[in-house]
Amino acid sequence: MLILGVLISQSVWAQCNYTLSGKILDQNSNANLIGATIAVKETQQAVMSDENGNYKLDGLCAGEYTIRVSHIGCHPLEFKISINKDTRKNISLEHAVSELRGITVETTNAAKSMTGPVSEVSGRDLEKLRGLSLAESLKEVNGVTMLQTGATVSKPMINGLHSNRVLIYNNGVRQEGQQWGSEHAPEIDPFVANKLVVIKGANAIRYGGDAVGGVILVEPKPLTTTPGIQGEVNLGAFSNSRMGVASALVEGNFSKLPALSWRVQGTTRRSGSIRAPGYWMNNTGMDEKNFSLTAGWRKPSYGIELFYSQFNTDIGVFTGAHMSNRNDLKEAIKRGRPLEEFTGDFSYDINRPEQIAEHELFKVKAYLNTGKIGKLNLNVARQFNYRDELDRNSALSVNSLTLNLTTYTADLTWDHFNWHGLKGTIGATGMYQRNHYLARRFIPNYELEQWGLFVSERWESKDNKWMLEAGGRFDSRSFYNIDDNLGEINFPERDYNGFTGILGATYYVNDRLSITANASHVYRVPGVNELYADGLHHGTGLIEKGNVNLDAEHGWKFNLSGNYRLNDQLEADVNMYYNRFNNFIYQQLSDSIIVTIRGAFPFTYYAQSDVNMKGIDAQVKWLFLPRWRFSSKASILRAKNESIDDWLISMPSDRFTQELSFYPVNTKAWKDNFISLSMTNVTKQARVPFEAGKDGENALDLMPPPDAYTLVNLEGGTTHNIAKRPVTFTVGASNLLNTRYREYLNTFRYFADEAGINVYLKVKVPFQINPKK
Amino acid sequence: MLKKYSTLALFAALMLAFASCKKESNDKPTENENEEISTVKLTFVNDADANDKVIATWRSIDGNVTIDSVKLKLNTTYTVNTDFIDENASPADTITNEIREESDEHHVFHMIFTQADASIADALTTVATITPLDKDENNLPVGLEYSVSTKEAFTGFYRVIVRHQPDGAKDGTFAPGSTDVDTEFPLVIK
Repeated sequence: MLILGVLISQSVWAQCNYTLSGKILDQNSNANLIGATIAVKETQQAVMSDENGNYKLDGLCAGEYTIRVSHIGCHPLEFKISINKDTRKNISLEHAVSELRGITVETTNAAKSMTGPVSEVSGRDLEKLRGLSLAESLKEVNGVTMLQTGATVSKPMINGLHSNRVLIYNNGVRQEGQQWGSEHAPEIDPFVANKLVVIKGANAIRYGGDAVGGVILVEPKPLTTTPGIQGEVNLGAFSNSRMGVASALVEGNFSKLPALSWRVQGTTRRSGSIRAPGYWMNNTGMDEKNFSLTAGWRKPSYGIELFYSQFNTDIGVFTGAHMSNRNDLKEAIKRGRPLEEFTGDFSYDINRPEQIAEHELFKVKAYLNTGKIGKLNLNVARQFNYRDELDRNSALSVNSLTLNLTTYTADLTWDHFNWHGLKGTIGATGMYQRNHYLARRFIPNYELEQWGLFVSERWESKDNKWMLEAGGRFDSRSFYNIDDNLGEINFPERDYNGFTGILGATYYVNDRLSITANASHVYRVPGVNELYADGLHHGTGLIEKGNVNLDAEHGWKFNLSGNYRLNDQLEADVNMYYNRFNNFIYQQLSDSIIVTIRGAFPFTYYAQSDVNMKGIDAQVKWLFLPRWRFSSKASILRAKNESIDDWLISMPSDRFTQELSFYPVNTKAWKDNFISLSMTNVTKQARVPFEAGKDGENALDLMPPPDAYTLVNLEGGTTHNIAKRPVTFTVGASNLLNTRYREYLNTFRYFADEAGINVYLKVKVPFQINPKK
Repeated sequence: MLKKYSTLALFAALMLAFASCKKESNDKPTENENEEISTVKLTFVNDADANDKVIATWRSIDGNVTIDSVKLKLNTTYTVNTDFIDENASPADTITNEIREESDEHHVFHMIFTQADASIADALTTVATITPLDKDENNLPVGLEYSVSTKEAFTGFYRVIVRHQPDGAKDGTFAPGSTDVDTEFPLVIK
């Protein structure tokens, strides 16, 4: 009897530990729905979906259940399901048309539900990075590094690829602004965004066939639908360059006119000389002023939004880095430390040499819900980019270069929700661009026309265990009217056409583990600098010569990634990738010297080669005690230049970060408390191509890569109510130990060390002015 | 009613704000006007015989560089004057005056080397004695006029470098500032 009882209880027990889990999505926007209620009628169990839209019901016995899913503003959904094993079910809820008020709908683009590695910086993580430039805000993402020219100019580099190979989308518009320049930082104010998304893998081509390295999406918050006026003020102070940052955002919605919402935002940043351990660097100040305006009219079935932003910056170029010719360069490198005259006292002054950049964006976005089957989107934008590179004042020549770039873009896309189980987007894009230079010619005047068509489809299996993705793109690009201002040069028109595509799959092994694999074919048209550069690129002290005969790059990208998540306790992410590119374009330093009036300069030219790049980005986050978390990140890359059977130049070295965080208990006055200590170890880049020069040294670089270095950072934060507002404080120190180091990817490594310790304080004050009832 | 107008007014204001576009600024000095020095002309005059002149020109026009050799006699003292000219402009523009006007910010160096494009530290002092003859307002040499006394037979290079040393950086040495001109002439002394 006892045995029978045990047997019976065993089998009953065995049949009652099944889980039903999955994701709740908004059917229209494809966004994750947070806080949806999933209830089991028969057992009275109910759970809510978390911040990723995930839900999990466990302890279910085998049997048939009626599940009811509800969320504010959506029609509730009820369905029957049979459980006899762990089951996965994603549920899409449809918006109730009349109930848009008072809900913040998170509109994500297809990025979230794509296969492949997608990283996001948002919420508190983004708040910790406020006041930093766009590239600095992204370097927390595993696999993303910075390509720097001094401490004030940095660009994001994804797994070794940057500039023309990394597309940046600023509020849905492809940023066009002389991005070919390694010393041209993206003219984007990160304060515009409340989310930064990095798409590293094959799925980046949905944004452009030339997204060989990946895509960065700078996404603002959707306009508010809550009546009244609200906003936030962000302030920051940084010790190293005595930088002050202030940014404010005000947004509102009219209770009498619920469809109309608006937002005004502005940022100013001002910093002076940067301090390396032991000395200030003259003329490294920065002055930035940005603002943006958004207005939107949103109805359930259609909407229109206007956006205007301006970015203005003046950046001083370290006087000790501005070399006149190869001899100056050699002398500077030998010295190991800049001359006294370049390392004076601290100053906010910005003089020549300097960079002045302005970027203006005007965008109109409109959407139309085509019934239950889909949504039509139209984006039209005009961008104007102005760049002034002022070299040192000279009695003997004008010494400057001005570039005006005007770009018009239009894209029309149709998101369809369900067509025989397929969900996806079909779209057409077009661009017209005109470049005009003044003073010294480095790249010529030109006009550019581009258009493209793409299809991106996704299919999910009935049990939600499999997600398959396929996409294809055709892009056509033409350069024409390529000439100079003196009527001496006129290049023939060049046309490029290419197909790109992607195939991907994600398999949800169980509710904790998912595996993704994808492959894509990429195609990149050479950039204007790679084709037409001619002359002294003062910023780099090299003479560059483009090659009008360059072919387009094309190649394959493969990635395999896994994500494991055990509640909040443990999260692990591994992304392994292998890329192979034909006709990969790179800048090659030659032995040739070009003699000019200013002396002899090293000559560099653009070459094409077959290249392969492989690597791993991995990270683990482990909450090993209720209030203690340890996380570890590793990023490894091996890039080979197959044509010369040697390593590929200018690739990031391996880096490893360990971080220990402690979360003190919330008190009545102090909430969301944290303290974290992190240590980043960057190895010496030993994998560089080598060619013995006259003196036995490497002829392919002006100086060997710098030594490995370790940086320690400390940070803490809390939220404290002041005058009934939850004010968030973040305090910290980067390069806490004032380590003296140089980074291989910073072209200023020939002249000076990196910045030393930087202590900072950031404050965020939200506010709200509700309408009188 | 008032609320409706004020919201419309706000929307209109926003639209107007959008209309303020940036355009290409064409207010730059002139397109492509690069006052570039195209020519460096050295005129050596023998102190003992005013008719014994050596003129050597370094010229770069449209990317074509032509360099004359400097041929000097052994054991002779010359006074050499340097001229900087922009021959791309018509009429040719003499830039030397600009250096003279800003003499406290410029220092012209004449140096002798055995190798082309050598390091500044390798400048030779045994081949000839080179002494500047002009001074700026701070009593530092300018270098537009030098006295060159040849001492031994030699084959090598004669280099003319103009250093731009603004904001008080000029101190008589080579190090401060940066190079505006760096031209090298083949040199034969016999």
